[in-house]
Amino acid sequence: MSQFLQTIVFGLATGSLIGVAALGLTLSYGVTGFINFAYGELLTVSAFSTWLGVTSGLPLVVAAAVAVLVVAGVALLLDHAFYQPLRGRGAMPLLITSIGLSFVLQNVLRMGFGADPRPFPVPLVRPWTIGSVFVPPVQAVVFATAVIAMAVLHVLLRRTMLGRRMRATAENDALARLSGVRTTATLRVTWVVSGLLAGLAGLMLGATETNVTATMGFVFLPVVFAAVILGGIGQPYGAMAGAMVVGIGMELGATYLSPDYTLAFAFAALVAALLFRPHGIFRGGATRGT
Amino acid sequence: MHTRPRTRLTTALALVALATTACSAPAPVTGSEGAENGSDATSTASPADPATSGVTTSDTSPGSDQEVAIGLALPFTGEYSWVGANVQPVAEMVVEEVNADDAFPGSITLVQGDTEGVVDAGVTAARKLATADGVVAFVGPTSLSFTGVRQVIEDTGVVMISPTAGTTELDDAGTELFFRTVPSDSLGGRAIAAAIGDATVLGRDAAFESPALLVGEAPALVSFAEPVADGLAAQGLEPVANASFVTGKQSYRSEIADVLAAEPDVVVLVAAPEDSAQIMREAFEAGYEGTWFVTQDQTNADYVDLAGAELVEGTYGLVEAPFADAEQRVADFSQRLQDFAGVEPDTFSLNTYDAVNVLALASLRLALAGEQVTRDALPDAIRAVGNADDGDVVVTSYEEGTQALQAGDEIDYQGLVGPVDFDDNGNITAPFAIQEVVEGTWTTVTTLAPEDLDGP
Repeated sequence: MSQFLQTIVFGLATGSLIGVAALGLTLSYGVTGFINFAYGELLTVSAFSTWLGVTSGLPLVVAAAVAVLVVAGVALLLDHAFYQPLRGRGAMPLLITSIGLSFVLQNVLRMGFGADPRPFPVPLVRPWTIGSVFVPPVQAVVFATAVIAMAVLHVLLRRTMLGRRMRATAENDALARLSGVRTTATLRVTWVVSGLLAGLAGLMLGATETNVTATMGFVFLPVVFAAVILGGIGQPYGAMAGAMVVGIGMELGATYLSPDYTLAFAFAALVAALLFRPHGIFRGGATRGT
Repeated sequence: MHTRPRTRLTTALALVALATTACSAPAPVTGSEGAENGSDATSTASPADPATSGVTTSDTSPGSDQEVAIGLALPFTGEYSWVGANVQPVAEMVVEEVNADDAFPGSITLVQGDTEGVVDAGVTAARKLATADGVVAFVGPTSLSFTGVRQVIEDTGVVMISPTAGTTELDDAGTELFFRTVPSDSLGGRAIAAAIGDATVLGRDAAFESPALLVGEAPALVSFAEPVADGLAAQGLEPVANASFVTGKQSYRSEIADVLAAEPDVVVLVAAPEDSAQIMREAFEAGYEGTWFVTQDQTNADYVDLAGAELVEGTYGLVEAPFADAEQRVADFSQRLQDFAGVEPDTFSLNTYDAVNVLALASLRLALAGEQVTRDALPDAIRAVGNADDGDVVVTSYEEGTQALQAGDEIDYQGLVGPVDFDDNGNITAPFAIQEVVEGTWTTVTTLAPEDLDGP
């Protein structure tokens, strides 16, 4: 029983990490209508920025905050320079451009920081023991951060005018524009929010993996995709649920079947779920109209 | 206004093409003195089919100037790029010293082949070096690529002298083409086992009683597992856990939980530095308070920086030790390397020095005898300069070897890592050091001579 509980603890932490990343990705899809393959590199930029900040003498918290803001800025910049000019030409040009940007950003990071891994500056702390289960403080922080991020996003989407505009743009941008919503500005804000979430996820990924490399975000992206698709692409609440299913599924599979195939369990969970709910867990819930 | 999106799309696609090109471009070829000499290195090598002829020099008349190309078949990019970075300056230094000396009739050039530390890229790089660049010998590969490069060597007849490949695959390779100036993992594994099972080796009050093995699933890593287990068995110890893991994962918590459930007092971790740092941290976060024992990849200052000094404090590490008789020569080498490249010797530096010196002396021996430096001729020449025979003059450098060979003597090269006497499979024996991280710095605890380890 304690092994099961321990696995659930690990699963919640893994799901939390995936969840925050999935939220940012699905949010941008919901409003822009294309999957941003360069999203993984936003996570990497966050981790490298934090490492750079700390090695430059900034306290970890300050460096992390700066890193999140940097990623939001990079997301906005990418949209302005590459995505916005292509908007209106359909999803495919945007998709291909994002794949290209993913490679460009990886190579830029590799040129800037080298191929060697860098240590993510997370403090070394002994675990908390609760009964027969131990909880690494880093994982507790990851979980708490995810809960807060999800709550803030919920409030943003449901309780603010900005959230209504974002949802209206996602549902039907032409109609939203006719209704007086400044959809271009709303899209920009969406990129910023997506970037903030990516920045946060990058911090969590760095703290979890402990090393920072130019490909860390790219390698992590398939798991995020699995959560997003499982939750129903474009559905923030679905992404959260999908992330938890994927995270806990990965840890259960690693513990009770084989740790060698952790990623395979993520996709097995995805396939199994989609067999029964082809549109994802939260079908029909909607931020993205069809 | 309508042209801007098109312009940007074009720019984006151009960047995509640039990135894709950057990802797939072949490894750069450089000469012995950097990229600017790259074209020289390839142009001086024979375009003839070296795989069948075995002749790789541009001039085939005996006694005349020869251009000998040597391939650095090593990882220069990727997770193990540090290996290439450590080897290259040493190889360049030796080659520059050789070329500055007039003894060799011609010159030696280095050609870089990036194996990326993986099998597929290793095969591609080795094949290019062997066929397009016409090298007569490889300095390399690492154990990581050896499985694939082995076939290229056997197909083309290129001689390999690796300063880095400790893999047990080479213990009884059974061909005259394989040489190495690094001791086998078999010996290293026994050194680890001796340190764990015999308290006197590390000067501890008591020996470890519950060792566990945690080994990454890669040929170069698995190579260590059996010698350690066998060595422990010889010490009367049975590992309480013997686990493996897929490398490069996001988390190793399940594997760590399995190992820690066996309550080990020491864990032998055979893994890449990146994975090792993550595993040690996750084990710490899971409450592990025992000792770690790591191998050469982690026993360096870079690993302490990567994992964090606090995390690795008290960790033991295995590393090749200099030859007991070579203390002053190692100091001299360090100074020369510092002067040449501005770097301190690092992992595999001494092994590289010996590997390139042996190749240079073997080439010189052939040239002075009026023979061509070919793939076919090199193996016997390498044994002749490396191994001790009656009447050989002992030499410890290219300069000393030159004087002896020019005087008509046969030589026995004694290197920085050991006597460099190759057995029938091209293996050498050399001492190992056990180091411990003390206040963030690797500190030598003891040195184990090969004869103490009862192995080849």
